[in-house]
Amino acid sequence: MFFSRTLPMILVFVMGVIGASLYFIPHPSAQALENTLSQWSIAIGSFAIFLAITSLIRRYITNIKRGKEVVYNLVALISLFGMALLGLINGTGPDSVFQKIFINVQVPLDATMFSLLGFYVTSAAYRAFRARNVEATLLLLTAILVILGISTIGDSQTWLRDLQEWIMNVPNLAQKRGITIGVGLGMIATSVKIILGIERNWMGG
Amino acid sequence: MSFWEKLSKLPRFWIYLGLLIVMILPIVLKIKAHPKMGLETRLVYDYIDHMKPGSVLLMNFTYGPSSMPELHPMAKAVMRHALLRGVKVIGMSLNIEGTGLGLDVFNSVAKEFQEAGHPLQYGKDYVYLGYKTGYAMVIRGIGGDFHETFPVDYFGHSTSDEETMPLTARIHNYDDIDLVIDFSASGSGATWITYAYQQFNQKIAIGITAVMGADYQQYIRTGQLVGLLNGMKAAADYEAAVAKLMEKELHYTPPPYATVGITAVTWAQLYLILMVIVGNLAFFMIRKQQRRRR
Repeated sequence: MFFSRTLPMILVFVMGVIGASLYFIPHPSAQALENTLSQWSIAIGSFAIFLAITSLIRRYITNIKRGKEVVYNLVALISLFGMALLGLINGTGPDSVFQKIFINVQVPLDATMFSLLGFYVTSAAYRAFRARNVEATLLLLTAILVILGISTIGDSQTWLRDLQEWIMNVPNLAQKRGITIGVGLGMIATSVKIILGIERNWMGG
Repeated sequence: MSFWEKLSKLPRFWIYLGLLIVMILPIVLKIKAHPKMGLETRLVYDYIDHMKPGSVLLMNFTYGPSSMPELHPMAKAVMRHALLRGVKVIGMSLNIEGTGLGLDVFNSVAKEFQEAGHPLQYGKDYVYLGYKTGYAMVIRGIGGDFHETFPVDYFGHSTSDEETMPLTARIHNYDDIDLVIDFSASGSGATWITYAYQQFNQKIAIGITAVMGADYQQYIRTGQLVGLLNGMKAAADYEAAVAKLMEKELHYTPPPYATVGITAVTWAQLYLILMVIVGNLAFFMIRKQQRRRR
């Protein structure tokens, strides 16, 4: 109980209070301590990567043992170790095999997957984007005006660019600032709750 | 089934085929746009244009291949511009996919300058630091001690070595970096503002995908960003302006990406608007027919 709940809560309280206080103390010794703590965080981040890779490998191996999507899991495992080995043996420089595989295999695959979204959006817009009522009509017209104004068409049609900039800089900016301030206050409230031990979901409920 | 009903149930195949044709034609025919630079892009362009020779630009790559068409040409154009003005360029990445893409940007632009007859020297004119885990803490760490955060570059050279890496050897923290520009498809721009601008008063600009534009415009008016490169349009604006500069100063024309890509994007946007209009027309005609039948 002490090591699983009390100690982590004490650590979070102490480090949370120190971390938040250091931000406001300009004294060189406080800044030096903050620098050290940020370097510690970077080191802890490296452990997170190690943990993620270990858990990923364990999951793939479990799936293979259970006969669940064996081929996909094998491809993922081979790719993971293959790329790591290539990087370690051959290096990761601009002309290395590692970089060539990244640019010529991963980049087109990833970009292709994402580009499919454009086709789905067009099809969905054709079928679902309807001016059924006043609100939907306003949304539709605003979307069309912003798209046209922000594109190269707005370069020649200055009234369209001006209108698009007004929509973005006045109504859009006003609601965005409201949301940003709300999110900021929410983050402060959640942080205070975690530091004081009121919010404990991060310990697994 | 009436004509309008058939039209409203147009098979996906034809919609996809139309989009494919509209997207491919400008790229195959290399139809280049001649964009007019927008205000937010102009702010970044002017800032870099007025940087003194020898000053330092730190470029961060936090995007993956899915955002590459928008951010990659943007990053290349900014790097070309900085190098043309004698600004020293350092690259880094806060995500793993961005590491390889950042390396590609540095490698391609260095090759272009080589082809143009103005070879660059690694370690003196530009340095690529690569990936560092820790996200916000890396940004905070640079403000404390640059060499502690990045003891070696991407290739394993010591960043403190004055002989081989004079550029990074003189960097201690944000006081020695004149501008940070973050190319991102995530929320890293806000993290740079929180840790580098608020705490160290570091000048920051960002290059983002068009869908993120609305989130970041608010930071220009507050002075937290010096400017914003917003999507493919900004990439095309910047690329066209820097291409003109390179042609004038180095007699070299860099390969066009965004200026061709923006034509495809504009055509696709017009196609999307046309599809929405046709879809709505079919919707209203069907509703009219149904009312008549009643």
